Amino acid sequence: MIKVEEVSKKYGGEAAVEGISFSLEKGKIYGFIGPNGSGKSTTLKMIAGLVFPASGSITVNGKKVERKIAKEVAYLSELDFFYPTFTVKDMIAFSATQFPDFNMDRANELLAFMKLDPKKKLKQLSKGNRGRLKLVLTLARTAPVLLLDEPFSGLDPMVRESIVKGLLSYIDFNEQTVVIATHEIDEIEMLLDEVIAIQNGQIVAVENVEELRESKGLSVLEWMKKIFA
Amino acid sequence: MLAFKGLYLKDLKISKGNFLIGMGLLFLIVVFAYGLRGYFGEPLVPLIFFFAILVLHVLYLPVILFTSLQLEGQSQLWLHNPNGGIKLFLSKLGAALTYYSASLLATFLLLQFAISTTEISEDLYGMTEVLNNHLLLVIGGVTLTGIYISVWLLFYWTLYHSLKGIPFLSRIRWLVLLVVWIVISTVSNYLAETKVFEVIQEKGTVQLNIFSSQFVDMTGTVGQINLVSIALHVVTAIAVFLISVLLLERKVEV
Repeated sequence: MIKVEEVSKKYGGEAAVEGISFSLEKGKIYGFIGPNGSGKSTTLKMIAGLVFPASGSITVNGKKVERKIAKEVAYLSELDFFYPTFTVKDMIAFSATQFPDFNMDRANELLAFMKLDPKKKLKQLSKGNRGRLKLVLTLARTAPVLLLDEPFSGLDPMVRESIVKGLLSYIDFNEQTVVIATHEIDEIEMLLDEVIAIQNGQIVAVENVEELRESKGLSVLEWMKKIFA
Repeated sequence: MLAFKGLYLKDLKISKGNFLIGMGLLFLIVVFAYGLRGYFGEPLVPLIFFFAILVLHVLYLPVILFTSLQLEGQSQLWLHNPNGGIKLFLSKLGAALTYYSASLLATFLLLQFAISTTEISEDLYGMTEVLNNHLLLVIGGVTLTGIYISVWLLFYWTLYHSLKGIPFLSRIRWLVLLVVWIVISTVSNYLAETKVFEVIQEKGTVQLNIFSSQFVDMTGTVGQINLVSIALHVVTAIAVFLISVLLLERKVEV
């Protein structure tokens, strides 16, 4: 379980998030939605222990978040960073040595699923294939928490589809808590249990997706348009 | 151990390109030195070049380490890792030391070859004794100094990236580093001039009889080793390394 309490974070005097509080339960898939610069990425980075809150507290499964929480949190970054001299295989091998929960069989399965050539150098991969590789590295872990920051950003529909299929096939829906930050909601709407809308560093709404559809007759996209109008 | 091995191999791969560039440069210097020797008919040229390169290796470790850190610093995503800062930094130091050792060995062998094939009749400004008998001591000094500089580099690098999180300092980070450097230098110079330090230093000095008097005259203090000074440098290096680790773990953000 993830607990975020009264968390604030500033960048250069500007508040990225301001006094946000929420809880995320085990075995659910959450969508963090909001426009660019709303505080989605900062929130995910704080849960991953990669950015430190100015105030407030964050715990993952009862443990105060610090850098080493990476043992329990798998984080997919929005950044397109890679080691230029590495091959796909090198990257997989490196991750396997760093994360005790990295499952090599699953990684190989995912590589085949995503049609990635293990011998290819990362600098030779297209942006789409690097996006696929990032997902392989994240989903090959059996960590209790998966944080995916803009997994579809700048990727074509074919890649997006393969990523969604990857999520559907490889997430452990009972054991893993998944948080997907995106402003492109179309692709993942069917996956989500709950949506959290963030704007100007504050949580403006939290909804259960099923209830949203049944009681309000709205899709997440329609709801999102209404919220951010 | 598996995690450290993985980090070490990763860091070796990251710096491989720079190592190869270094070896390429060394090769070009060999060609250049022997070219000059042939052109001017001066047999000592390769020997002087290779000795200079050997001493310049004091900067090899810091340069390799800095380029490796700069690559990580582009995103800081290397920090998404359950292993502590000690492992992250030690693997970088280890990988840099590996390439340093290979480059140093190549230079050492070149120098040995130049020494064995050159008739040294002149005194070479008091260096003859060093070249013939005490190269390993020079290598030891170069290596320890290189490690010491590298540890301080880790500190300034992490401090620079830590300051990113402080809004009013993030734009003047270089200036802050300069101020920190001046303060540290001033304090250490002040401490070095105190009477207490002088007394401790005198008591901890061990004379080395292996150097020729000329070499001692040239450098002033090379003929003696100060154990207190070495101990202080070791303690300082460990403290600076641990502070860097703390900064990396608690202040550097992605």
